[in-house]
Amino acid sequence: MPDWLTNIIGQDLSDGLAYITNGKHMMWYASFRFTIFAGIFGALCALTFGLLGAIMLNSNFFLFRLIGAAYANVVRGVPDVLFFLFFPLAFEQGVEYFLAKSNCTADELAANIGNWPPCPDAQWFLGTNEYLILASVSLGIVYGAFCANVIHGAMKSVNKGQLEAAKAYGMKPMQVMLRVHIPQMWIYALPGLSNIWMLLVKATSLLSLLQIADIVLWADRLGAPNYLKQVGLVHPDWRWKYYLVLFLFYILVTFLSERAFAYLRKKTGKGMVDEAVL
Amino acid sequence: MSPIIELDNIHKSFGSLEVLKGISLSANRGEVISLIGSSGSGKSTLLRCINMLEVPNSGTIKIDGEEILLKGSKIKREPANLAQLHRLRSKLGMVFQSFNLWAHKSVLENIMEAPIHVLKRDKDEVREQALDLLEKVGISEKANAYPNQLSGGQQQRAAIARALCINPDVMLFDEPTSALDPELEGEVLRVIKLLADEGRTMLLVTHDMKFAKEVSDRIIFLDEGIIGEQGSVKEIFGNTKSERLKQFLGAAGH
Repeated sequence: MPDWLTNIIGQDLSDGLAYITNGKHMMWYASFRFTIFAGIFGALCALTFGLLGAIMLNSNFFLFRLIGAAYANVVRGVPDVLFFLFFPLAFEQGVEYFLAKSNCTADELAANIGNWPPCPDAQWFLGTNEYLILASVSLGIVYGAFCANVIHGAMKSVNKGQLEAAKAYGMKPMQVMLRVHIPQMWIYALPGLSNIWMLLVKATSLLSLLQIADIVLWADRLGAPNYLKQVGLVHPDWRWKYYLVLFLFYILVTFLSERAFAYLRKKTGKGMVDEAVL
Repeated sequence: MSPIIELDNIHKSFGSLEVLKGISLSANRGEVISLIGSSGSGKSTLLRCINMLEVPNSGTIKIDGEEILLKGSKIKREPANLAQLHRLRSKLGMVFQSFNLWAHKSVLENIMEAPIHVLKRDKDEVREQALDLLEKVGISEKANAYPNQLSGGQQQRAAIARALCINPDVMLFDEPTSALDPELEGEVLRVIKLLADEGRTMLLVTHDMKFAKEVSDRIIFLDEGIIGEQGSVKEIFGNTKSERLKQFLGAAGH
């Protein structure tokens, strides 16, 4: 801390300030970017999968309906933690399987039976960024199944006469979908989607399962009893304090989300519901 | 000149209920035809068959001499050529009983929607026509309002403007005043009368005998899925032949 600042705020505060701005704390703060990225990118994936799933569920073709129903029902039943562990691993090994097919020689394969990957050239190294993207896509797949269900229900709530009018005026099925059906569906889907969003936000705390040094992992590390040889015990078990900070972060996200959804309701409800209700 | 609409032997069933039992009719350009009959007589279904909102189980429909291509048979019958269907539909201006203005769009956007996105016409030109039409139906001041801010009568007039803006060959009205309070009916009927006087081709499903008398060139009485009787206003109201029609008109107060 610079002397002039210490003079103003006093030694104790200055020490505290120095502590919470040290290198490790800075890394903790920076790790919020993983959580925020996973939340936003995961939500975009979920919405995309949800829309596709709902359109399939709504389709006239039996096969599409079957795929949509399988997605919505099977994936909703799998625990998110399990899927979170399963998908990135399965995806990684799937890629490595194909790499092995093209990159490994027969000798290498014979020598490496029982090992994975079967040869060094088939290894796909995943860094934090790759894991983060795979984790977000996992979130997207899991919560997309819930979105598909909610959006499908919302699409059914749209007044049939609205769609009939669109058909009667010569719109193609895709135009009916994009110009009338989907724009009118949002107001019915938003309450359900906001629930899913909150669940997804909470699930971002699972990132550390994939060895991503996220906010939870750092809170764990920083809060653990800290003993240095030169100075003795720096602090005892402070994890609860760090977890408390995370609580506050998630509550702030909740608060901002509520505001955002209120805005979206106003926007998508225009003309659809009474102004007084919005 | 060939008829603008020709229906030949149209059959339509919903489940085991046969609603239309072989109906043939043709409408000439400039003709105003009212379809009357009791509830369940199939008049709305017949109108909805013309633009394939209901696909007839058998029979053919020609719009301006062009037959709407269908494939399959019975309940699996469906339009065979979607491009043709979309093209022919945009020649028919449909006005629904419950208005069906697109709720998420303003009145002006509703009117401009099909001309721009289906007919691919120039936006400025469409806007000009839309504003003219709003004036014609008497709700210019509501151009930027949403449908749910309008009274039923205003909504139906907006819906008529929407139909007119595609420059349709035929206007189809499906009980346009049945969802309206009696005091709001008048404003809609005045607009429809205006269109009839302009010489537009119109098919009108209605319960309003007084109005049918006033605007129609020809009246078709549907009775349990077949044409019970048809003719000019004079023939239908002045010289009723069938017992069924006499009964129906008696019940309707004529």
